[in-house]
Amino acid sequence: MKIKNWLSHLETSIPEEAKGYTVSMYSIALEGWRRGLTLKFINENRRKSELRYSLASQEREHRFVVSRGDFTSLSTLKICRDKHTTKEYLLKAGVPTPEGRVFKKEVPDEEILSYARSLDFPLVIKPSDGTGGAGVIANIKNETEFKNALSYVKYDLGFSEVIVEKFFKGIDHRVYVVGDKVMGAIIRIPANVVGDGKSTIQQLIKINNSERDKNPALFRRLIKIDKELLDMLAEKDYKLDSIPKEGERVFLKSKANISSGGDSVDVTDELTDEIKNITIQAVAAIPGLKHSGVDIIVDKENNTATIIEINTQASINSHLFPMEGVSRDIPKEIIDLYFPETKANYNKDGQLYYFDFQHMFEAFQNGYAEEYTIPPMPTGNITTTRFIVEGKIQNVAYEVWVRNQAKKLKLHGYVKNLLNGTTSIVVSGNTENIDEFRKKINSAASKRAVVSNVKELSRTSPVKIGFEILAQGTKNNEKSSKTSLQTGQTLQEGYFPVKIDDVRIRRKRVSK
Amino acid sequence: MKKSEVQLFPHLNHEVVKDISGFKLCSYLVALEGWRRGLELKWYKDETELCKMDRLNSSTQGKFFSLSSNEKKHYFFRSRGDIVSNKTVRICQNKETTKDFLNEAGVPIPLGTVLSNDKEIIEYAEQVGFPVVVKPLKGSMGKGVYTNINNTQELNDVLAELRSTLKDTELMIEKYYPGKEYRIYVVGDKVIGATNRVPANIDGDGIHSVEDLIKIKNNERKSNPYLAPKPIKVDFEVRNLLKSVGYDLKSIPRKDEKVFLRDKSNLSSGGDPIEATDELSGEVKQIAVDTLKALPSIPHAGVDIIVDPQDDRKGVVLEVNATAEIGFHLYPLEGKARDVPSAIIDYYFPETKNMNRSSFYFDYLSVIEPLKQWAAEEVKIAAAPERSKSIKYITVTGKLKKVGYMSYIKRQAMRRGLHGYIQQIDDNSIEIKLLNGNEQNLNGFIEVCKKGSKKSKVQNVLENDLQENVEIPQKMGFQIISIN
Repeated sequence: MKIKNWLSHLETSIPEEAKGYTVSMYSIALEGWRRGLTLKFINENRRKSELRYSLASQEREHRFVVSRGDFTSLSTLKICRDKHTTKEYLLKAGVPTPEGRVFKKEVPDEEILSYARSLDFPLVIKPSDGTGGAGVIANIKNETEFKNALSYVKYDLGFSEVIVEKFFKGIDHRVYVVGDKVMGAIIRIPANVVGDGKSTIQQLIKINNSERDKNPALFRRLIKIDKELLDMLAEKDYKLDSIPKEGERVFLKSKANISSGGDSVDVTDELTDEIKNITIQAVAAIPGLKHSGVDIIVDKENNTATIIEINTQASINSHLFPMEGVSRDIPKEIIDLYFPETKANYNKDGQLYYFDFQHMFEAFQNGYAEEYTIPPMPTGNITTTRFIVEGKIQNVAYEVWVRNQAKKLKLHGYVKNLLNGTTSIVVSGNTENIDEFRKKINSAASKRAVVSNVKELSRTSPVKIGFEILAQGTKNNEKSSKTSLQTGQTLQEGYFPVKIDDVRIRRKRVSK
Repeated sequence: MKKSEVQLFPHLNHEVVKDISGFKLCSYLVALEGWRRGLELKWYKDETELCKMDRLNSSTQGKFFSLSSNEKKHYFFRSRGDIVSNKTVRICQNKETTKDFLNEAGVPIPLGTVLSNDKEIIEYAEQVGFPVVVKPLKGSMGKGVYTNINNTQELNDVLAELRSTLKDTELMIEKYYPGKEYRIYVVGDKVIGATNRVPANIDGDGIHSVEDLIKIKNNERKSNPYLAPKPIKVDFEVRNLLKSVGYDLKSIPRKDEKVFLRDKSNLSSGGDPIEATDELSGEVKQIAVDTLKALPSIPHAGVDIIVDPQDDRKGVVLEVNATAEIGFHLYPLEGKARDVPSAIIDYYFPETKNMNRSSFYFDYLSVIEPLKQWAAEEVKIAAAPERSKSIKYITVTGKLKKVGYMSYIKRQAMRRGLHGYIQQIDDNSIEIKLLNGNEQNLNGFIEVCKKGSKKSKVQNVLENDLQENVEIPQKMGFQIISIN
């Protein structure tokens, strides 16, 4: 089994539509909002993951995109966008970075080649504006390989501007630095399963994929059983029905890409102080840079590292939801940096709320909204509870009546008719209003409804603000609900996992 | 009775107000006018701390908004803006206090008083002489208002009926003034529109029964955006009135016979809004203007006046509606629509008076959804784009189906601030319709159309500029129109 430890205050607080790339933005926005800052999204017709947002206290406002805030000024941004300038600043500060040069489109191949000769092999060729490792050719050992690689990157892939630099042997790390501290470090390893001595590789892949499906950051990027995977297994004399030993790790792919099933593994605690220092110095070397993602190659043997790239708007997804290891609360650090006066409002144990993402994104997609402000989180003396109501309450507008009562009392939560004929109500808000609501639920109902029994159960997981009427369970969970909930069977807390229900309903809406 | 032609505003056609009704319509119409003139428009979930506007227990979502220019900002609740003082809103909610103010300023009001004791009410009625009107002190939409009570017996019945439903012990009793009643919308010192509300009625054709004629009438109402959700409902009152003229639902009225179904002229219970501004005498218009002047800070409102049938220069003021409905002024059943929203915006933002009105409109119902769901606190609407003089049609052929071409083009258009539509014509061609754009962003966009999305293969791109009526309202945004 792979051991991971996610942040409990984040894990169940990411709405379906904010999953995937958007998690970085959502989790930082959420942290700021939970501290009582005013959260506003700004429509600039950008990609979903690159929406602009702003957090504001009474005194000031800071604007963000992905993980980058406005502490990173335009001039700092310019330095980081130009890889050559970045290198110059790093070298000037004595921070190790591979020797290399950027070649503009019009530079003839011959000139690039002669530069390559002047450096010692092995070398790396990569596009100057590439993302996600596309077009990076590493460990080029000689001139022939170099010519082939250059032609591939420049002409086959069509990247006009390339970087040639010295190859540095080691392991790629993504490190996140805030101020003068390393807050998280991640490595990526190719798709793999760890044996338990009982399950077949196919079963292990299935288990692995269901774990991946639960990961808000990896959302729907599963390990696919394809030719590459089968070839890889064959090399090790394995088949899909082989049973690896307990604790044995079987790699299934050669590339460490997350999209082809690779894992992100948190290694923050494994970094030595020397390596941490190099990374911190790299951020310090760039004028005005206060927090950033840094790509480094770590040479463990020699306890050293070299800086490959600085990402001002790095995704923090892998730090938040690694497939192995501990989550790092980067949103907390970023908000601490921008709004230090709100540090005391950091809350991960009390009643938590999160906000809707769907409506905002639709409003932006349709182009009618320019700015969209999220309502403030409820504060003060808060209670959250759940009711299971039995009786003649379906198809009699009972849920509409419930919503009206909740809205009158400014309570958040939802009402949902369950397939077993009961109705589940989750409410959260001011304790006095909850008391009022409890009285109402126990003593009244909509005109044609007949309530026979009201049970109250505890509820502690985060609540989405607003009050929704959720549609009755659809096909997907019909089976499980019907088989697991016979008449007379008692309802237990958590019987209907709330988030999953939420998810399904919205997914349906999206597909429409 | 021959109906006069209905004349509605092309810039507020059916499409613009589709599925928007009641007070939502009022709010939307005022907001839309301001937005179309280039004012910044924000919708709020609740009243902000910045502006408290008095209201009864009604929701704010989709009805509370602000309009602002560089210099100033005004908040609105439905058709009422923040220059109308809360004090006056409270005055207008109480018919007795309103009458006191009007009386003080010499504005003609009906003879009447407020009494709680039924015996005293009857005595008072006998003293001023029948017919009389009885209504609750507070209330709107004509609930509990009984007009034309002709004798003590009828008054007793009405009181019994009222007492069974209304807890209010105090009732207003007034002398009944015969004559046409008008709802007059005043802005500043001008009458903008006047509507005569005719009680629910049907016109006989000698063929259809009363029941069928009601259906026909309700269908006619359905085609009017304002009246659509206000059908005539057959209830106790309707049956009673029919009975009093010797009819029931199965009776077949003669051709051209008008059969009234209610006494009350309220539109919400099926009345007809007939635009009648030009019927009013200058004197009556002045009474309406003076009515607002008699109250503290209420520069725009709806005034109810009954005009004396003997002398059209005379009338009495029944009521002032500080948060008046305005839909019927724009969507009358007969007559020429009057632009109340425009007059309101002129008053609050006189500097925008001569500004060109954008022909775009925004998707109001989608905007208010997150506010209703409490998913948003505030939504700022994107500025109204400027229309091109002509419409640009781009026809693209090639492998465009199921390769993400349409959504790619939509994203590209929106990124460039271009508004319009994209539609599939057949398996290999799509049509793009652009409503705005300058040379720069259009050129870039055409390039994108030629390049296409990753998996698409564009063969040919044809451009065509067509002169079309650019005044026809268009929805803001870039719509993908699917064939099915």
